Amino acid sequence: MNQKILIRQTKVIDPNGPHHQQVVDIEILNGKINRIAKNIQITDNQEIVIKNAPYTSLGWVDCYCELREPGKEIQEDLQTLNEVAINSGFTKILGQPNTIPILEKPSDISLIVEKCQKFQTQIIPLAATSKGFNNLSLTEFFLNKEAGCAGFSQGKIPYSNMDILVRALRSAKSLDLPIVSSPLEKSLANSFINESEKNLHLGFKGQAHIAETSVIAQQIEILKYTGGHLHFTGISTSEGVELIRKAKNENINLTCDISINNLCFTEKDVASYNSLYKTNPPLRTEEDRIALIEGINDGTIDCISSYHQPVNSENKAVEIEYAEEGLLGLQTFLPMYVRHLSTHISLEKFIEAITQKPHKIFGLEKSTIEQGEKSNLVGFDLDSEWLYNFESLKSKSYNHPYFEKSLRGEIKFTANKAQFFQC
Amino acid sequence: MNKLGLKHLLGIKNLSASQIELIFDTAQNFKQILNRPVKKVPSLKDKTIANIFFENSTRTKISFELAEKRLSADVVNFNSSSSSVKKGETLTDTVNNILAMKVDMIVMRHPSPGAAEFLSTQVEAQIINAGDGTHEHPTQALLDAFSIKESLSEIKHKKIVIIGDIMHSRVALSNIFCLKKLGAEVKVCGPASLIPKHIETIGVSYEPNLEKALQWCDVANTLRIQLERQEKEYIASSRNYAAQYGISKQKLDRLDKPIIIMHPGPINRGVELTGDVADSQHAIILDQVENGVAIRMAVLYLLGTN
Repeated sequence: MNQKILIRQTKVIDPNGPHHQQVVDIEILNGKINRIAKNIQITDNQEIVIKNAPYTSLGWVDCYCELREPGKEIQEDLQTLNEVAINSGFTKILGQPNTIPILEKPSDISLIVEKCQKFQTQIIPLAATSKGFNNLSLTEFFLNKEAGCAGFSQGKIPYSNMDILVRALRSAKSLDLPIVSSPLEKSLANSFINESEKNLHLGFKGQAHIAETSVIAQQIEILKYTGGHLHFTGISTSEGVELIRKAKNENINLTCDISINNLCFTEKDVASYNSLYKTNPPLRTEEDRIALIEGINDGTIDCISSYHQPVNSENKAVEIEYAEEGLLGLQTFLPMYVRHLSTHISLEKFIEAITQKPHKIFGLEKSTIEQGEKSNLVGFDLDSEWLYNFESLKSKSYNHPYFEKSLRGEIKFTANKAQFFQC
Repeated sequence: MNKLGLKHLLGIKNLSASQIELIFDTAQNFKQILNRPVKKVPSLKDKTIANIFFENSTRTKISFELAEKRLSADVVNFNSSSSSVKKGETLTDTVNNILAMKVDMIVMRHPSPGAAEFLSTQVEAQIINAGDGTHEHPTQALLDAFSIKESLSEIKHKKIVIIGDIMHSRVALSNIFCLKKLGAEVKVCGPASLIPKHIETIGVSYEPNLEKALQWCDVANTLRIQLERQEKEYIASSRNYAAQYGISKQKLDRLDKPIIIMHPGPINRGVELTGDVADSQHAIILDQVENGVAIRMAVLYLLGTN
């Protein structure tokens, strides 16, 4: 990226940076921020000039994204994931280890890291906590860290016994890496639909809130005992938020993220048996959704994740019970904020939940929007509309209820690793 | 549009009280025809109906088939004990293959809740839900309510208790929707582990004590213990269930009034009902079966004719 790039008249959203909330011009040269000023003169005809990005923030980080390579490349591969990410504002993706085979050996981690080296997006794998997610034997934590993993996780597979979590937290503590946990008591999780009057009408059993909250309460106690860093992913219940709120007052390293789906959709959306709304965690009540929003606003919930789970249409266009769970999350991430959240969560809070906080939690290299810093940036417009269809689709899958719809909120450019992409 | 004003019959929740009454009136006429020497009418002689059953069924399948034949429809049957998905073919493909042979209406039983509604969004044919997992079984609820009306003259303000495995029963849910729409008071009774937690939100109350429930009601509709739809053991044993929730002559004799006993079948004799109760004059179990054909004729006629 030897070209000079000039971002014209953009409002910086960088709560920890010196230019936060300022409308400025940003000049990028050789992968670095060369200048930030109120008005920079265009000096070279070769420059790329971006005039349509009213906002610029640090590149976004996704805490929960399911890699489909290796194993399910029909749904997504690393190349298309990179394409999706750079068109969605994400410059760092934390990839879950629930691929086929599971990412559990240092060679598995290295393979992903090396394969993604050339991409503009940093796809950073998490390694499996236990071998084959068997909840019995830990993977090689030290070697996996050396190979480049940013933490240990089991995707949506919960820790079925507490001994494995005790050992994992203690082992990861010395490496300063988090243990990621999907809080779910399997014996109570007999449904993909929330337990309420809605599930009765649908004829499905419901998943009770205690399937989540009983595990959160238990694992918080374990964290107090072991020390280390526990990160809950996919909190979906109001009671779960409250348990974490209380626990964060104690001297423990507890963080969490939630799926953007749970922030935007509710159980009402599943009422027509539309398998596109079949998610894990299940979509909950409006009260839960409000509690999650409050959790973001008061800092109880640290991060908002895309929960990007590409599923091919053949696995969705069946009876909801047999449909594969999950929906895409990256390309619709900003439009979902604009449509469902912008009046409840400030842009500053939203950006914080996908930049500063995940950087800190997963120990990622952090920058600010400042002269001399690396250009890890995303520029976006909250008002511009675009059509989410086969032409604009970047993923191999299209399992999202907003597919074929007009969306508001558009990414204009992403810059990372000395590469620049104009959307 | 047809006489019912609906393309499909997916569940009771899609019907209004007046639509239910129309079905009852029509069924009443068909019931008279069924008791004549010539039981057949030509109403659906230009229609072809496919009965697609992805779950085992005896009486519902026979009842639908008889109803279709007595309306002079051409009938084909497709039975598979496992779902189409498990066989590798999607439900939509299976049904579209059948429809390609110029079939007009589909009567489907399927193990998965919402399957009939899903199918209605995928294919052009009219769909009649003959039971979708633990969701709805609309024609069963209609024939149950019709039978109650036949016995008690009306349903409004009557007290009906549904006893047994409410959680795994499509009959319970459809019955509750239907009886509530017609103005009945409904309670459920059975082991707490087989009662959905939020049952009161659909306008019914839970009575854990069978004898109190029987004393309260005009009609006791006992459900089959659905051992095949329970993925784990919710009841300790049949004898434990029978002792606590089985209806015996002794329990009925202790009541200060006679009540009507119903069962959708097949009965586990000695579990939900003792043999003497099932065979007593208060049981209308075989009336339910007889009315089933008339109700299904009414539904098919109203959906299939203009």
